[in-house]
Amino acid sequence: MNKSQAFETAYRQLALELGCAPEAFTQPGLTLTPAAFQPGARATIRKDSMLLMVGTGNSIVVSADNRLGALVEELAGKVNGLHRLFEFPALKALDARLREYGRELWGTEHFFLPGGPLRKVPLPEGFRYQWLDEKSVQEFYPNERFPMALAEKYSPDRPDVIALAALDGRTIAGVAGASADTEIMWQVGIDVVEEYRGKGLGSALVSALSRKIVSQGRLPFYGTAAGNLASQRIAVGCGFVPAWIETDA
Amino acid sequence: MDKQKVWSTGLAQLAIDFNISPERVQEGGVILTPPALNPGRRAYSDKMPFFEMATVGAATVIMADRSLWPALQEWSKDADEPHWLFEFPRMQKLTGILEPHGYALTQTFHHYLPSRDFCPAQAPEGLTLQWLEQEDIQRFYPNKAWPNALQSEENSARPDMLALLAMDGDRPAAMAGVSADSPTLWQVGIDVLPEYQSRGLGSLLVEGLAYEVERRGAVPFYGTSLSNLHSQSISWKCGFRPAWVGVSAKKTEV
Repeated sequence: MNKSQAFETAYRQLALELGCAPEAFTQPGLTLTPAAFQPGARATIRKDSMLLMVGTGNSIVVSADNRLGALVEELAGKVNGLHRLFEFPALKALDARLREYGRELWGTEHFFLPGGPLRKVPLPEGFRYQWLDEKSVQEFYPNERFPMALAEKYSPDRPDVIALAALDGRTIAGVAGASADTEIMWQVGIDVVEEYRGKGLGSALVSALSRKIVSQGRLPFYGTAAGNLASQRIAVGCGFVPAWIETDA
Repeated sequence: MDKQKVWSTGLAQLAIDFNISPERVQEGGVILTPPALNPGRRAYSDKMPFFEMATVGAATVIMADRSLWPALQEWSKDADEPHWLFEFPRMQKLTGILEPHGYALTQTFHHYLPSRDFCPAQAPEGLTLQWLEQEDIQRFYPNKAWPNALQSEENSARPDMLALLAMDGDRPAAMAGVSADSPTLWQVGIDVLPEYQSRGLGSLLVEGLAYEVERRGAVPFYGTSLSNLHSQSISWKCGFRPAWVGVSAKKTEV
């Protein structure tokens, strides 16, 4: 998988969800579209969003209720660089208006895509590694210990389809897992138990899992929070690069 | 430069700026400190800070006026992960604490530190490179053309120390510049003119400048906003890795 294939696949998916052309994510500028849930959207997209905003830098696409369009355009005219629509002062102005309609802005999510062939990070010695498939992963449910890697329970609309666990004796030290958010876009998540952090286990699990996903003809992608620096370092250490930011209400 | 040393220099700087010991930051958790203008701090302002917050992931330090402490303790108490305090819904609640005092949150700033050795700059095909020392930079003031590489005017508190300019014949194409935000930590900024973008010029200049900064004994750091994916990509590509995220509060206009 090369970088442009990864990005083109993701842009096609985002374009479907936001009702715009894929070029809206590569050409600088603001694209406003009506809010409308599209069949085929990632399972994480809420059906009743009043606003869904995606940015790839200075290309911003906002799918919004028509009562919000004027405010989005006004903010776009005010910010120094369109990407700043995703910075706190602009988000706060959007949130204040959304509250008038009983909505609130959720946090921003920061997504990464393969920037080329993914890097092979060696699995640390001293652990036993176990692959899990859609069936065997269900032994983890109900799951609370590995909230990033796996769902809480079986979710038919975005099933956990593959996971890799690291075991220290009978203790699980970390799990990387992927959910099929669409048929082809599989979202990777990672949890490393606190006492096993700092040993490179997170990067190794994410690398092995993501490469396996590519070998199965799917596109791995990685989502994280703005302040989760350890998670961002893992993503980039495995050969992912920043791709888009997303928020909704 | 030894990368362990780079990160301990970065952490020491954060500790000075936030009036805390580096060891306490490494212990992790959410930590409140009283405001101070410590010697050796990065000199962005002479005014006593009212509210500043930074996270390294496992620790979040909040340097804030003591009048805010009870409200901040309540606000932060159920954040299992210290960096959660930077999530939008929490920051939104934080404005409820700051607004009665006449303060609003700024955007977040993401600080990146070197994680590998840099390579010296070589001119790309068709372009030439020029080094600009502190005295050569003077002729660019007042500066508007290079908002990230250079400051708008001379600033003795944190001077522009060095810049690397790429020229296409006699036309400037891109510039990376560095300011001594503190004696040990120098901030790198980059501007690439639109017609020269998307050909790797930004990372080439940043890498070459960072190499020279280390050679002169300072630690280069790269500051950007998380929404600016192009700037962030340059930073990652040059081997910088995120070290901390910061946000502050500014007086709202009356």
